[in-house]
Parts: sequence; C-alpha cells; structure tokens
Amino acid sequence: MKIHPVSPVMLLTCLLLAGCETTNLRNTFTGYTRQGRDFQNALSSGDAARLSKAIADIDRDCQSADRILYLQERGRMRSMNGDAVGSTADYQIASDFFESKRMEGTLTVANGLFNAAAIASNDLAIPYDGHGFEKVMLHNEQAMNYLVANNYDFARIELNHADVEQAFSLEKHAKIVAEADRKSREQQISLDAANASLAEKTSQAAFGAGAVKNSFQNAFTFYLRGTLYEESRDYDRALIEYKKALEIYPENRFVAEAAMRTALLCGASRDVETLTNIYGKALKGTPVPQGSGRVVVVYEQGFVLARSTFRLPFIWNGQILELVLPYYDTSAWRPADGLDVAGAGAAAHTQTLCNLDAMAVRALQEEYSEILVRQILRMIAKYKMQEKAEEQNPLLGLAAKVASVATDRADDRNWLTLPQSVQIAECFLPTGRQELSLTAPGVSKSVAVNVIPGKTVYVFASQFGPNMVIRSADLAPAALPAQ
Amino acid sequence: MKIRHAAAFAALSLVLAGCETGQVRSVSATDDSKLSMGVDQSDVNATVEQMVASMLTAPGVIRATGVNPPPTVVVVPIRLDTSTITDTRINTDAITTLVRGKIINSGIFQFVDATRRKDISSEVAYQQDSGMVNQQTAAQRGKQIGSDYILEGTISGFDAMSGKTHKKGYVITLTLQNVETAVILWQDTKQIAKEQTRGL
Repeated sequence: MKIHPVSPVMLLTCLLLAGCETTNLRNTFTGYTRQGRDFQNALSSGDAARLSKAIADIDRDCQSADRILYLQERGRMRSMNGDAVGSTADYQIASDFFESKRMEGTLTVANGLFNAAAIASNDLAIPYDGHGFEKVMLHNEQAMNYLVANNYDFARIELNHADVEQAFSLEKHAKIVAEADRKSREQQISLDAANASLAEKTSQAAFGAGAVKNSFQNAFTFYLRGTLYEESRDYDRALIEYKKALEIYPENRFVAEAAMRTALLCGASRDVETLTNIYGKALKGTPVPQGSGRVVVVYEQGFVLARSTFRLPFIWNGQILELVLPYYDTSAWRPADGLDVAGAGAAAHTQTLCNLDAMAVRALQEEYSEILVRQILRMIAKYKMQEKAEEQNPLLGLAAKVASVATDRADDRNWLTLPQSVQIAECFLPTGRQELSLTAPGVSKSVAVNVIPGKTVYVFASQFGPNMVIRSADLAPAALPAQ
Repeated sequence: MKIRHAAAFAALSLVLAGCETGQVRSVSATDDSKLSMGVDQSDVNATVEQMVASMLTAPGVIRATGVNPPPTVVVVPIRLDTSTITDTRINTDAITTLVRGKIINSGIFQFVDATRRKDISSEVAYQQDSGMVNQQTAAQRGKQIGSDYILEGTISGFDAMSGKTHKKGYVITLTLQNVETAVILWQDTKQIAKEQTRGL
C-alpha cells in the first residue's frame, strides 16, 4: 500500500463532510480531557445548578460524531442530578449507537472520510466508539438506574446485556490485534521497539492485586446479577454468577460469603468444599437471619484515570519521526479508599470489586497495536505532505509543518465521569426503618432505608471529592422531628 | 482542471443529498420491509397469528370448547424471561392484548381479564357501598364467572455474535392450562430469529 500525502483541502473536506455527522472539531484540535474535567468538577461541586448547566451545555455534543461519549457522560451526570428518566434515555440511545456501530461496515463513505480526516489530523477525528469496559459499565449503570426505580426485571435484562457485551468485546479484541499485525507486516513496520516503550509506560504493575487480565470482564456485573437471582430465590443461578465474579476478583470477601451462602442453600457440596479450601473455615455463608433483610451497599469512588500524552521517537526510512501517543499516568496511583457502613448494630467496610483504572489501562494496552500503526501511518503521510509542500514553496512547507504540529494530538477520550472503582459491602439489618451511616475520608452521610424481611435493599453511594450522592429505591421518609 | 472541480462538486452534492431527512409513510402491520434486531410489529403480528391459529385448531381445544356457554379463560400478562432477554423494549402488554383480542374474536372462549380485577373490584365496591348508585342497577358481588382455563406465556431470548454475524432471537411460548385439574390443554412455541451481518 502506498501512503499518499494529504492536502489541507482534503483535511477540511473530510472533517466537515463525513456523511451526515459532524466531527467534533473542538476535540480534534484541543483534546477531550479538559472538557471531561469540567464534568468531574461539576459533579464534585455538589451544586445542582452547576451540574444542570454542564448537562445542558453538551446538548450539541450529544449530536456530534462523538455522541456516544457525551451521551454516556450526560447519562451519568443526569443520574447523579436526580434525573433517572433522562439518564435511562441517554444510556439507551448510547447503547443503540454501540449496536449499530458494531454492525457498521468499515468501507462506508462516512467511515472513509473520518479515517482520511484522522490520517490528516489525529485519532480524535474518528467518531468515538467507546472502550470495552465502558460498554459493560454502561449497562451496569443502567441496571443501577432500574434498581433505583425499583424495576428489578429491567435491571436483570440490562445485566444480561452487559454479559453479552463482554463476549462481544472478547471477540473484537482478538480481531483488532490480528488486523494491526497484518497492517504492520504490510507496511514492513516493526512495532517491537515502540511496544517495549509502551509496555513500560502502561504496565498493570501499579495496581498490585487489583490488576486485571482483560479490560472488559467485570466482576461487578456478575455480582449484581447474583444478588438479583438470590433475591428471587434462584440460588443455582446466583451461585454461578457469584463464582464468575470471584474468578475475576477473588479478593472480595462479601462475594465469597454470598457464594458460600447460596452454595449451602442449593446443597452444592463440591462448591462448599472448594470455597472452604480457598477462603478457609472463617467463610461461613451465614444465611439472612429471620426477621432481617439484606442490605447491599454499592460504593462508586472517585473518577477513573484520564489519559495523558507522551512523545515517542520512531525511525522510518532513516528519518526520525515523533509519535504522539496516549497513556495513563499511574506513577502516583493509589488504591481507592473504602466506605464505612454502620447501622442497627451492624458495621462493614466496602471492598473493591471492580478497579476501573486498571481496566482503562488494560483497554489502552489492548488497543495499542491499532493506535500505533495508525499513528505511524499518519506521521509518514504528514512527513510526505511537508516534503511535497517544501518542494513547491518553502513558506508552504512551513505552513504544512505548523498544521502538522497543531494537529499532533493523542486520542485522550474516555468516559471520565465513571468512578475509579466500584466497591461493595453487605450487612443484614432488622426489619423496618433503619438509619445507615456512610463514612468515607472527607465525607459522611446518613440515610434511612426500609428493610423488608427476605428482601434485598440496594443503596448506591457515589463519591466525587467532597460530594456524595446516595440513591436507593428503599429510602425511608425522614423521621418526624420530636414534638 | 474544471472537470476535476465539477466531479468533486458532484461527489459532495451526493454526500450532502444523503443527509436529507427521509419521508414518513404509513405501512401495514405486517410490512417487514424495515426490520430491526428487536421485536418488530410485523414479527409480533405474524407470530401471534400463527400461535392463535395453532391453538384454535388443536384437537384438545376443539373438544373442550364445543359446549354452551363456552369455557372461560383468564389471560395473564406474558412474562419476560429476565435470565435470557437482553432488550428492555419488548412490549409484552401489546403482545398479550393482541393474543387476547384474536382469541376473543374467535368466539369459542369467553374471557376474564386478570389485570382488571382491581378496577372491577373497586367499581363494584363503589356501586355497592358509596350510596350514590341505584341499587336495582348496581353490580352484585359474587357474580363473576370463575375461569376454566388460564392462558399464560413467556418470552425468552438469545443474543450472540459469531464472526461478522449478530444473531438475536426471541422464543414465545403460550400455554393453556385447566385451572381445576392443572392439565395442559395446549402449548406452542414460536421463534422470532434475527440475523445481521456486519457491513464491508
């Protein structure tokens, strides 16, 4: 394949006329992270008016080629702002776009123009297609919306979709790796040196026990499905889901307890034995006491890592080209703090079930071959364009160089209002109105829930800096003031 | 050079022409010219048509319905099998209503509606207890007809991607069961299967 130089006319045409969609020019030229930080700040402020403004300000972006990203951000901000209906609609539309993108051909006019624009500028000109872990989290977040609306059936269905999404992502990942390999061989480009530098920068080592094997298998999906099956007394299925969650995140004792409890309830003696061998005799699988209800606290802590940019020298045809690549800076990474849950004589501390930072880093690692090949092809095309312009006129050459530098930007888009981690805690509380205190570093909240015997009460606590948003279908009305 | 410009202009015009909003047109309920990967109206109509025809011609049903007055059926809303379905937009109410409507119109059963019991009960209470209704015309308690049969259904599904092909399917099962003896008089299962291949 011959790499053609790109012309400014072609760049402009591609950016403006990629089918009926509009490229998000702001992202193409300034990147996404700054705007994403604005959303995070609006959430952290705890100021409903500021959050409403941030939501209203991205109406136009929700129509752009990057609409999936903005719909996800808006869906999350709306749910935190108490607009569950708007959030559910945003997530549904984003999910539909994911579905249609999945089946879209790569040789459509629009895709051709977007890809040409990306070769002429940067990857930010390609419409946002999301990352595997985000697609799964989209359904998890939607399931939580349904649970807050007390619609357990739709929550189950949404989690089925999350499960299917994980299978799709696995298959897609294998294809992307094969395609990048094919392109690099076709162009006779060796990725080894670049890959080694990247591996060093994007290692999973920073996450310790929270490191993940792939970006899309999400233990929280399986755990939540398990709790819903257990709620409907389908203990066999609940056990299967808890076991799947433990395969991904074996460190979580609450899941291990739930697995043991359901294994005992459905008489799965082999599973009881296996769980005892792994977790020891301290794992009791205690059943919910008579006259009590189960309270599941889901704690979404902080914000997922944002992408940074680094420059990597690359030698091509004796020329030193500079690749501009995204990475996650994990140098100052530390595990998320937990949440203390206390009430009616019970106390628990949340444990991580899903480390989204580690998943984001893994997602980038999985996409890297593709990003790298595209970036190399882009730098070669831009280099040729400058060369040709210089031949015609030195001033034109300078202009081409300036244009090239101005668009040298790594793709820094990811769903930035997602949490850093999802943690869980469980406790059994006596029936009736129970006060729960939720305490994390820098913030403490108290909520009252209606505990029903034999039922599961879900409490979702999302912390953004000093602000914590609590959602639950089972919130009890505030107690009357003493007379 | 002019020819190149003209060609570029023509190409851009074609791209832009594709951005016009399409026109709205009425379609028949069985029009399957625009199918989605979800449960479409034409799928529901065709499937319900086939299932009701299967029920009305089943030998057991023919034997049970040849009486006067015709036996009474209670229809309970069709349930989603939430362990397999991946789409929250399946309108089970519409499917239940369609099934019920078609069987009512066949005239071989009479129906009671389980979803209306609360409304009927409160209406009877109003007529009996509010003091606002002429008691000679008021509906009496204890006059409702007990159902002989219960008609219920479930929709389960599958969703899988294999290579470039996305397969999605919905399995609708309807069961007619004797309320007193629990004997299943009739059962049928129909599958709505969709397949979409990724574009080139």
